Parts: sequence; structure tokens; C-alpha cells
Amino acid sequence: MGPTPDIKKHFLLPGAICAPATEHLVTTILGSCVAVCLWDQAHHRGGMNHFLLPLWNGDGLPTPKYGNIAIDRLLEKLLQRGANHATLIAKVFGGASMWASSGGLLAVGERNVELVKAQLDELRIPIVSADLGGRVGRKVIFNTATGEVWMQRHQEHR
Amino acid sequence: MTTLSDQELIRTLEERFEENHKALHDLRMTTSKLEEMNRKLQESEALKSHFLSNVRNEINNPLTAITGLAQQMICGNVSPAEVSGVATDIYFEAFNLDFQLQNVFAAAELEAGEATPFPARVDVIALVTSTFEMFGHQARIKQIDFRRHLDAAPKYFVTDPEKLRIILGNLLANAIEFSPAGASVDVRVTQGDNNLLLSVRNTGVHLDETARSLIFDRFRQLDMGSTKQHHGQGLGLSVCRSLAELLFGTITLTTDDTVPWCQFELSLAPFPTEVSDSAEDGNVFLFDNVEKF
Repeated sequence: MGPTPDIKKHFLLPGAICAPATEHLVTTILGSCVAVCLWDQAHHRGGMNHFLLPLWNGDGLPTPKYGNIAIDRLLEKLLQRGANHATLIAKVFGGASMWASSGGLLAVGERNVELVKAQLDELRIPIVSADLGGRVGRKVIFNTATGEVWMQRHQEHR
Repeated sequence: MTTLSDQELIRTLEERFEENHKALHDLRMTTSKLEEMNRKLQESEALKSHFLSNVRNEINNPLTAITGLAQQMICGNVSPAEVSGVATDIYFEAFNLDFQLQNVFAAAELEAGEATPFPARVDVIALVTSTFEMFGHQARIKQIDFRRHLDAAPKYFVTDPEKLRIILGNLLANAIEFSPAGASVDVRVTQGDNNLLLSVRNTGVHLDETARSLIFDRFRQLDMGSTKQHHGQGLGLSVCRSLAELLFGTITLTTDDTVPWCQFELSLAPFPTEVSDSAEDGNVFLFDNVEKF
């Protein structure tokens, strides 16, 4: 079972944001990255981001490669398109630990997960469903008009 | 209760030590990052107001020159023999202004998450040559030995040509702007394993460690304030770095502590065109059953 095929498709690259005006199927593939799907229950429109790291550390440009930037930008875009902050819900995916041990105690994936929870909580946007953490990558397809998300888990190969 | 052998005990202790060590390391890293971040935050207010006053100069001055020169021509104050010279001045003022604005727009687009790569099969030599020639005039004015080495360049490479052009333009403009008169600037394009390697190297500039750590920051020029000697907003390298990331690449800076030269090398991975295909059919990954949320 998958989404209906005759809707416009968009492949979301890491670090990008997609908040289209019309119905789209937005697809992305996640490892330790996290994608936030925001959807307005009242206006039936939404958008998705895909960030790689939790916080912008002041290096280079503050782009949506960083979670704190990506969530704010996605929200701004949706509000510009007429969404209402109060009726927004969030579905979040990703944040896997792709390597067994990566030096520090907290892997990038876990830090991304922590950030997304804290920031959405601060913005008072409820997380209605989520599939976070674990050890495997995910493919996510988001319908921006219906708010439905289909997710496939990458098979573990260890 | 199970008893532990001495060896097991030692191993457990070692593991705990290792964990503590890691935690301490993480804490130390976090603290140093916080200190760094704190410094940058304190600076950012100053940088912002500096940027605003700088924009006024950088945009207003060329525009005044352009309108002034054009007016002279309209009024007939320019003799036919001088027309070409005045037109050249207008062209280069406009070129410079356009270049500055392109960086501002590129930064705005990147920060908004609206920068989308449009990959194409790029004729590398033609792109590098035409960008190189755009800066020839500025190099001649500063008597810079401006050379290109394209013998080992690949003929074609799949990437976004416009974004590559902005990166190369910035690296060249910086190399010319920040080199002393009479220095040399070398552009070299080669091919790595699968990567496109593009380096811009200039002599006569010494970058110490502080300079190296600041140089990619936005709104940052090493010489700032009202007496600054160089053009620009301090956006170029931060834009280059973000654009390079967008094109699945990196920019690295190499310097020498004894001899004054520096080199910026752009390494671009070929564009994963199959990424968009895998989104459609999932052939690249083997997936479990679909779940709906």
C-alpha cells in the first residue's frame, strides 16, 4: 500500500525545505537526519524539512541544514501561506544512530531527536506521531494536502 | 550472587573508565563550543550594524559612479575618443555591483532554504575559462600574474553550473582583491577519483590561525571597520561553503606558516542523479513493509 500516484512529486534533498501551495507528495530519505512534517488540520496544507545537525554553531550561513533554523523556517513559510499556528500538528521521523559508536556518548541522531522534541514543544506544536531513533534509515513520503505520511524502514543489514 | 573473576572485574572497570573518559571529552567539547558560540553571539550585533552601513557604501558608490558617468555621456561631455573608456568604467562598476548583489541574493536564498540545485552536464573548461576572463581586467589593474591550468580538467561534469560559477567567481575575486599588487593567482582544475577538484591559490597573503578560523564566517572580513581596505560584504566565503555543501562538496583552506600563500580548494562530488529515481521506486534500498502515520 502506498500513496496515490497521480499527485505532483517532490524529492526533498538534505538541508532543504518544501512547503508547496498545492498538493504534493514530498519524499525524503533519512539516516541520522530528522524530517519534520508540519500540517495544518484546518487549512489542509503542510510542508516538510530535512535537517542534518541540531544547532547552527555560527559557522558559515544559518541554513536549514541545522534543526533550529529548519524548524523556524518551515513554520514561517507555512504561516506565510496562510496556515494557522494553533491548528498545526507535527509528525517527525529519523534520527537513527547509523554507526555503533561514533566517539562521543550522544550520536548526531540522538541530538537531532532531542532538539526536534524540545523545539516543537516550545512552539506548542503537538507531535501526533513519530518514528525516531533506532539503527536503520527511513524513507518518508508526506502528502501535503491530506497530512498522511507513509514510511518504510530500511532493512537492517548487520 | 555470581562472582566475578579478576579479569572480568578489570574489564568492567576499564569499560567504566572509558565511559567516564568519553563523557569528560564530550563535556569539554561542549564547553569549548559554548564559549565559541558565546563569542560569536556577542559579535553578531556589531557585525549586523556594520553590515548595514557597509551595504550603503558598497551599493551606493558604484550606483553613483554609474549614473554620473552615464549622465556625462548623455550630456555630450564625452568626446568620441573617450567613449570606450567611460563605457568600460560603467561596465566594471556595474559588474562589481552585480557581483556583490549576487552574493547577497545567494545568501538570502540559502538561508531561506530555497536554494535548489539544478544539475546539468557542465562543460567545465568553458565555464572556468569564461569566469576566469571576467576577472582578467581586475587582475591586470593590480598587475597580478593571473594564470589558469586546465590541462588535467575533465571535459564534462554533472553539477549546477550557476552555483559553480558563483563559487569560482568568489574565489577568484577574493584572490585578486586580497593579494598584494604583483602577486600571482593560479586556478587549477583537476579530477580526483570521481570528484572535480578546483583550486585557487594566491601568493603574498599570510593567514594565521585566528584568521583561518574566522574566514568562513558570514559578514566577516579580516580587516573591518571604517578603515577597511577591501570591497565586499564579507559574505563570499560563507556563501561558497554553503553552496558547495548544496552541491555535495567541500571547500578547504590550505596555508603555509612560513611562506605567505593560501589556497582554497573546492571538491565536488558528481551529482547523485539517481537520488530522485530512488525516491520513485525504492530500488536502491530494500525496504520493509510500508507503515502509515
